[in-house]
Amino acid sequence: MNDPRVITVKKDILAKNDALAANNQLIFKESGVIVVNLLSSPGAGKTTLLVKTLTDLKSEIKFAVIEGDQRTDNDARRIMETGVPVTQINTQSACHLDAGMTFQALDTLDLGSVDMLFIENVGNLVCPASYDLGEQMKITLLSVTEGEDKPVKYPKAFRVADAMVLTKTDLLPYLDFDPDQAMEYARKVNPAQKRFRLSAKSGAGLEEWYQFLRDLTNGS
Amino acid sequence: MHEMSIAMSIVEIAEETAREANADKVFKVNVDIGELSGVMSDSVLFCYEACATSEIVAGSELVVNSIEAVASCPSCENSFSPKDRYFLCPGCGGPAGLLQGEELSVRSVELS
Ligand SMILES: Nc1nc2c(ncn2[C@@H]2O[C@H](COP(=O)(O)OP(=O)(O)O)[C@@H](O)[C@H]2O)c(=O)[nH]1
Ligand SMILES: [Mg+2]
Ligand SMILES: [Zn+2]
Repeated sequence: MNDPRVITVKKDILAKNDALAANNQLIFKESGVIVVNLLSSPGAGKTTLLVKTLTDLKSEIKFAVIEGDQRTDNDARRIMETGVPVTQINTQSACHLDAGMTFQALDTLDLGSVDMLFIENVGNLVCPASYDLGEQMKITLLSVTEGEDKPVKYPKAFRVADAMVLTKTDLLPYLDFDPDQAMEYARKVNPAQKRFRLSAKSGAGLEEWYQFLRDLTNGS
Repeated sequence: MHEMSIAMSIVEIAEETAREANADKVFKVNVDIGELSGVMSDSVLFCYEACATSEIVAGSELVVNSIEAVASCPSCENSFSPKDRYFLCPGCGGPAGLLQGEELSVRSVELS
């Protein structure tokens, strides 16, 4: 046997995923589709906000959805009811989507005729933050039924997100949740982030969110 | 937890390195894990043991170098530890960037 040797590697552990993500990004760019990766804890309201958004904007923006959240298998069906094309990724109980799974899901979508592709990630504020899918933007949702300090407890999920959405604001009168405090925590973790407060149920704050999506598809 | 897929990627990189170096056996793998990488070192260690099963890596030791988070302000060049995970400069209050602390990489492999 030879003597032990030390080989310097300096390799990113996520290099494989990053390379696949770069490839996806190229595909998205060539098809002219804006891709948004939605992150949150389970139940923060990703599917509900998607259904509402698709319903209200589908006459203006051509959408498609990749569903990765398998907490319930109803999510893809809820999206399908809006008439927007949807693909369910079989994550096989994985805790996050990765760029390879995303690539496989693209097969079933006609990206050429899509303006904006939403990817609903697995409900989890830890793992999905580390795996790029090739998206233009990650958006992290926080619901008012969670703690105000989620942004500092899970800083990565809020640091990687160019925008955050505080959801279920219709419930604020019944809770001690302090929305200003939550927003301040998010600002401290990610000063440059764009932030929204809305309720998919009451409709409050949706117009600003919609305008943001319109501007994204217009490239501004 | 994605520590399992992180551990699997580490094993793959170790195996690849060994093959490229024409080695038969990996003894030790040194990895850098940043405080803000979102990865828990203990679970990676645990998962590594579970998935380092191929002949070439079986029994090898994973050594984690934990890397502290350091933020720095682009305007006043103040660098500081984002202790409470705040990225606002304590000097001028402006937004700071991260100098280190998000590392997730294999540094070196000891083999023969
Ligand atoms: N009151 C209220 N409940 C909401 C709102 N948005 C979602 N929910 C409820 O929160 C639960 C989880 O929502 P869902 O969209 O499935 O969350 P997801 O796991 O992030 O996709 C469901 O019972 C929704 O009806 C909202 O704006 N207001
Ligand atoms: Mg859902
Ligand atoms: Zn400063």
